[in-house]
Amino acid sequence: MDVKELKKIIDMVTDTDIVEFEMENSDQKIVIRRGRLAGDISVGYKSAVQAEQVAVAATSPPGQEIPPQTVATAVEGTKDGLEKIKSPIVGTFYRAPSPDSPSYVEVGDVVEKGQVFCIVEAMKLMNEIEAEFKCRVKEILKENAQPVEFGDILFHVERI
Amino acid sequence: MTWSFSPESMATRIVCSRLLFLGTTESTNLVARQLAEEGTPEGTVVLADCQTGGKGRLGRPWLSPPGVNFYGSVVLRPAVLPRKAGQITFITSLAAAGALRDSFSVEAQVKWPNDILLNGKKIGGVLNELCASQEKINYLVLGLGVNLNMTCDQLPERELFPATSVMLEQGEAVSRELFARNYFQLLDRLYFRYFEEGFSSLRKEWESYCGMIGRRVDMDAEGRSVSGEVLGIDEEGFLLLRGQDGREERLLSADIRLIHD
Repeated sequence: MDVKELKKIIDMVTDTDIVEFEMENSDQKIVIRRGRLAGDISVGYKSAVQAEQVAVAATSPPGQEIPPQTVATAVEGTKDGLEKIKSPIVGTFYRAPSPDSPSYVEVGDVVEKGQVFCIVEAMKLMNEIEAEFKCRVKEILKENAQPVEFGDILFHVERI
Repeated sequence: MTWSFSPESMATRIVCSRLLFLGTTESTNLVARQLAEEGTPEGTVVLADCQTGGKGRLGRPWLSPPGVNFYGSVVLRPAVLPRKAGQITFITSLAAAGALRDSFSVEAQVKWPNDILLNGKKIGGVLNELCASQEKINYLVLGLGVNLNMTCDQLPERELFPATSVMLEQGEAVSRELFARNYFQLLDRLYFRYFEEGFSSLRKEWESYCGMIGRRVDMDAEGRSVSGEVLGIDEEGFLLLRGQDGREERLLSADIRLIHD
């Protein structure tokens, strides 16, 4: 199941009064369970090849923390020891701050914690994706100015 | 630059919790982001008289001469998922257009995604910057530049969209402070309305301020040309367009030009 299909199911459940939703077949199981705060839901998704957790929280008043059940990560390990850097928003992927600037990173570059990998832009909202740990860029999976979905893998990196 | 307002005098709940007035700075967004990294409280505002490196989308320069315009940034830390942040950014252009209307009785409008127009010309632009992991927003900086008292010879020569200022349209200089106060107060109210009423309430108001609904436009969208009629924005803030072949499209990034029949 891809992220789009999962999002569709989450949206369907969010739009109803369903408190708990479970779906299982031979190779995957999905459990969606609403939290105590109105509108909050948590989602568990397991498949034969990977385990992934995604959670969404409905809008809450400013200053109110997102409940700790929100456990999705932007970085995820792979079998060959590489880690995935994913897009946190739907948007357009940019490898440089402006068309005539050099790219933030190239394959083979060592990236320090806090250094910027790229920008994902949506509706004039510029989201700089920063490294959460020191790593080496092994693969860049998107082209400059390409549209990306929420959760799309942008880079494979090797933790140093 | 002399500003006479203070956090105490603003009657806002979050916006202007802390105020920083600068003379000349590279960019108010840059300062706001540095303060945000250092843990400044939500609602911190950075205002400058002049920017030496003001910028817009894709690093395009935003001319920011001293003494004439509004350049300001606000640090927010909304407790929503990063993919919802796009919705919140619509409060910037809505508050700017509303404050122009309230302050100077002009018919300011918004242009998708986040420009401010007066008499069909660009009068303000925004640059919103997000720092987030996939599940949590660390901070969101809402940056705004509005041409208030710019003269003809100060306007950018070559722009994608024709530019103007309030003074050029009204024929007299206007108060920066009046605009700033109204903008921050409106931004504060809209921010709370987003949490209390949801995005659909803001979306309707934003659409009522948008002079492009029902108009035909040419767009450069993600590297391809698109023409069609603007239908509005959807729940995520994407532009809804009916193409010449009658099919509806959702766009999330584009440069737009109105077609003048």
